[in-house]
Amino acid sequence: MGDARGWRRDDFKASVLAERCLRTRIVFALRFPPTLELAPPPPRFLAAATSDGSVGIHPICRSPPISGIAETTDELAKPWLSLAGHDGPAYGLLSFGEDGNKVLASCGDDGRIAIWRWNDVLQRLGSDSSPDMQERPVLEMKIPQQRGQHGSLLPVAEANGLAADAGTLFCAAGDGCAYGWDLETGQGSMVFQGHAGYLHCIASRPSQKQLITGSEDGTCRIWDCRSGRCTAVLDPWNVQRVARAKSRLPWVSCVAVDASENWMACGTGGGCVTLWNLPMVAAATRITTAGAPQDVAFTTDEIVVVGVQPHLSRFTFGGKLSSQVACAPLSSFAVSLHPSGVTAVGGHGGMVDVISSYGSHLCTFSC
Amino acid sequence: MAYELLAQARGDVEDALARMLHAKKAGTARVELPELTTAASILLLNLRQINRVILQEEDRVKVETEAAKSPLDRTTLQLHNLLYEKNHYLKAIKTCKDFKSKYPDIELVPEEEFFRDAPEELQSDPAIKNDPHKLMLQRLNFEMHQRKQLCKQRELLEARKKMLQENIANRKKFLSSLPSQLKALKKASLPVQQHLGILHTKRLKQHQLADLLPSPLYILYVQLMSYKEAFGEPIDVEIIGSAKEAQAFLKQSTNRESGPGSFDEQHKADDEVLDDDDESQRRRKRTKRTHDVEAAADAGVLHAHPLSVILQIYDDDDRGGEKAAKLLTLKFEYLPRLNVVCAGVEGHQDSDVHLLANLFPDDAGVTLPNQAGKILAENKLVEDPKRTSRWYKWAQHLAGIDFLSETPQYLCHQETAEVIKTSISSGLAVYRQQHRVQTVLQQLRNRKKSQLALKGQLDSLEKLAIPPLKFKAVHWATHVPKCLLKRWTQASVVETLALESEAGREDGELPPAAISKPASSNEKGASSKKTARFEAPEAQLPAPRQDALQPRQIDLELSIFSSAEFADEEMEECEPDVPEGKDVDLSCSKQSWKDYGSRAFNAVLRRDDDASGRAFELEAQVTIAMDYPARPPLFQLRLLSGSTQCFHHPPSAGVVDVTEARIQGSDWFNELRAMEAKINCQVLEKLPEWEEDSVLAHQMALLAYLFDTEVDGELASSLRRMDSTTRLHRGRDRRIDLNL
Repeated sequence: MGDARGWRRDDFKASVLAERCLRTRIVFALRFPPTLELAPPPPRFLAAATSDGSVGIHPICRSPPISGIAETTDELAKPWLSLAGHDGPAYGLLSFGEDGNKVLASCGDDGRIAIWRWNDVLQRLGSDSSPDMQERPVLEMKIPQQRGQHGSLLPVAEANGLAADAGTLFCAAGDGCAYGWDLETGQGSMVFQGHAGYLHCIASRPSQKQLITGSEDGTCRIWDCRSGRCTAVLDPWNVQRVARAKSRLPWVSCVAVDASENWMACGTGGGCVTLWNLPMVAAATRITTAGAPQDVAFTTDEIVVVGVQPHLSRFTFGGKLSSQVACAPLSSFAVSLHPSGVTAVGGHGGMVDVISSYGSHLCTFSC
Repeated sequence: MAYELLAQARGDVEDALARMLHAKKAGTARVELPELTTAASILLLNLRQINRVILQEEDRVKVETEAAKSPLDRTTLQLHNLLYEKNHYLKAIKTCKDFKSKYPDIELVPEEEFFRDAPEELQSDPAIKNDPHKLMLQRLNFEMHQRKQLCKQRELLEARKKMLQENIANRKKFLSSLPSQLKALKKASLPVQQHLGILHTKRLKQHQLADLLPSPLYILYVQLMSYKEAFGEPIDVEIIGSAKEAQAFLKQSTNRESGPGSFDEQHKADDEVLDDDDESQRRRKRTKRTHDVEAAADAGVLHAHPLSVILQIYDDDDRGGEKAAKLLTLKFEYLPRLNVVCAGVEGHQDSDVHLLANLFPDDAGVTLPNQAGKILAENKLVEDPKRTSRWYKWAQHLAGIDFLSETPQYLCHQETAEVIKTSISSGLAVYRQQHRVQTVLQQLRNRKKSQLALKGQLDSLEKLAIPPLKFKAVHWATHVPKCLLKRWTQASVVETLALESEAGREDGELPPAAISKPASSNEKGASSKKTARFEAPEAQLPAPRQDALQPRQIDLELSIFSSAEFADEEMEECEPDVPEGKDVDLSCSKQSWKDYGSRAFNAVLRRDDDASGRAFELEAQVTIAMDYPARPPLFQLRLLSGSTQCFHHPPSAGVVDVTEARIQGSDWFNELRAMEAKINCQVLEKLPEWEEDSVLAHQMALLAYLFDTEVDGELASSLRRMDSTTRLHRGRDRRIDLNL
């Protein structure tokens, strides 16, 4: 930028704006690399998808935690590896697949879904290649563009969430439909249509070949993957099963299925998380949270919730708050659990907070 | 023959005489003597006869010789005459031969030229070609002809010369009388000059003063002056101060080595001289006096050179010959002890105190720009808010201090002076190459204009009206706001800081994360005043955990966005048990340059919806930095009221219902952040360069627009179902796509 000696005003303006824009970044999704062990060591890195469309692998630097809050490792942590990004925000990340052939999928505002092999990514991380070089996805898919009333193409629907069962990848799309792709062929195989608002989130229940979606219209729907038909409509706000949504409901922001696939948790924009028993298709617990929840996850016996509050909250299935840990983002959009007990939270300000199983902050960085 | 006969006769006589003598001696004389006498007499007679013959012969020869002698003499005479004549002729010939004619000295025109140029009559003789003499004659004639002509010409020229000389003499006479006339004219023109504002006489005086300027100010003055003259830049440069004092100062500086007390004497002398000087002097003196009182120890260090440069900047907009309006008056001072140039706004109002701060990044003018100065001042310099003249870095650059040597030139030796000279000239070349004058003037002008534009907008906002927009090609410009600006107040920085630290202390229930470091938390809160101020009210809410967490949150934010100095703070944070008070002080002094001179405003937008009877109030903290509009105002939003108060149906039987205390401020969190992003970042990209100065107005209009849109969305959503094809929200953060 210079000063009186060689002043470049445009550069200065650009730098000010760039600095401002950094503040407005949001981390939408976080995923830890897959592990084969049952009690693995804490992870060394994680994948993050941010609102500027980038998907990158970030190191978890374990600086000694001071007074519960980790020192920030860097002003702006550069990713170890940058995967090809999206145009517009990247909303979702999913790590799935059989052992030895795990893949990482990302989706974003451009309606594109990109899939990378973890093995390739790990190999790249092992080699000393430049972090700026982007890794090409092995597979790419696009949400089909809907046609409007007069046959005109509607705007590209964004992909808000991903779920997978054996051989099929599901995506919650902005046009109110969920789409399924056959991973063998990469061809679109299914469309789940019925929601009255766009989809925020999606989860799969492979054992029953079921798919659960959460929508802006305030309902959750359970779909049968084989037939593509809706088997149940849930109203998490009023904690009941309905035939169809009657009144305006706060949107369903997040949905998660536990490991046993018997329980489902979903959060709504009205500020509550509801726990449902899936075999019975009935609500068990409603937790009214301090702020609107934006992501949920299950441990073996707890529900982990993050949302519009600077905390990571853990609830028992009975709705009791078992712990609340302060985290860096004021509003969090992503929570990811690792088998080792490490939790990562990401959200506003591009902030990622990695919390150990004991509640201490392993590292906090901005990406 | 006669001589032989004579010699024989003489011999005979001698014989006869010898025999007589012999006879005499022998005694026989009587016998022989007579005979002998006779024989001897005969012999004598004979001898005499021979002698006579000889004489006669001689006479005859003499006569003969006499006769022969006269013709000989005549001939001899003739010969001599002839020889003489010959000699004469020879001499004459020699003389003739030696005669030097003048003609070889005459530079004749060469033959070919003669044949070419000579008149016909000189060339007409046919013999001329064969007879060199004639040719020569003709050539001489020609020469003479030519010379005569030249002589005539010369006469002509002489006459002209004389005429001209007379002319010149006349003019000289006129010229010698001219100065007095001019002087009279000058005297007569003074009132006119004064009237028309052409200060010629003043300029002359200025040039004299310029010689007395210290070199940094001299460079500043000369560069500004030349820039003005070369490019017709609408600025005025002026030197003020007394020449007398400056001379005294120069002398004093030269003699400085003589004694340590000399400077103080000079100081006193200055004060005395000041008393009888003009208005501006007195003003300066007054400020100096207050300084003396306030910081007696620093008086010498902060003492300015008696001369200072005043720069007046006029509006450069072309207004068709009209005299441009004065934008800004700057005063440049030089502090010799610190070797810094200070710049300040002359005749400033309160709003202009920070006008020159952060003209370029990281240039608040608070810290001394040079290391030597820092050591000299020994941190004794207390920040004086009344002092408007500050050592901005750009002022140093404008004065070329970066390439001037620290030691004054008059103290240097010959050879070092030479080195300094070359370094200065190369420095000046770089100076010009970097267009420093142009850059600084441009920045100053932009700054003042922006501040004027900003002031207009702020005035309008103070009347609770969103300023009108000139640029209409954006969504929000044509939007008629349904909300109204309910409040617009300037927030005081100090006040909010106090609030925050108090809030921190009030906090009784600290979470385990923050409990070990309450002091540092406070420090952080205080140092990040923007965020702190904004978050402060939350401290009164019934969610203690949230409060306690705020400062830490600020930590993290700061660590990302603040400059390198934060690293130092982090270091401090690592040291345990730092007294709280000290920490706060430190953080206050470590205010980031970006915040320097920035102002904060508090705006509240209100929207009443008659249909539903709901009211929405949005609070915006607007922080306007000095480098507006390059750094657009920063908006931080908070919803005061009107949030969706969710009403839960009682859960159906068998459902466990747990309710957590809600966090205030979590409503619309994402929406507000998205609005902030649009207002703080994206708005500038949509505006053309010429509209930049009214970015605040645009931001306010955009805020109203976004607020309306959000409220509309909120109201609409409660009334009807959203159609998926015409949806308002998009994505996981439910951002509103406005296609700005």
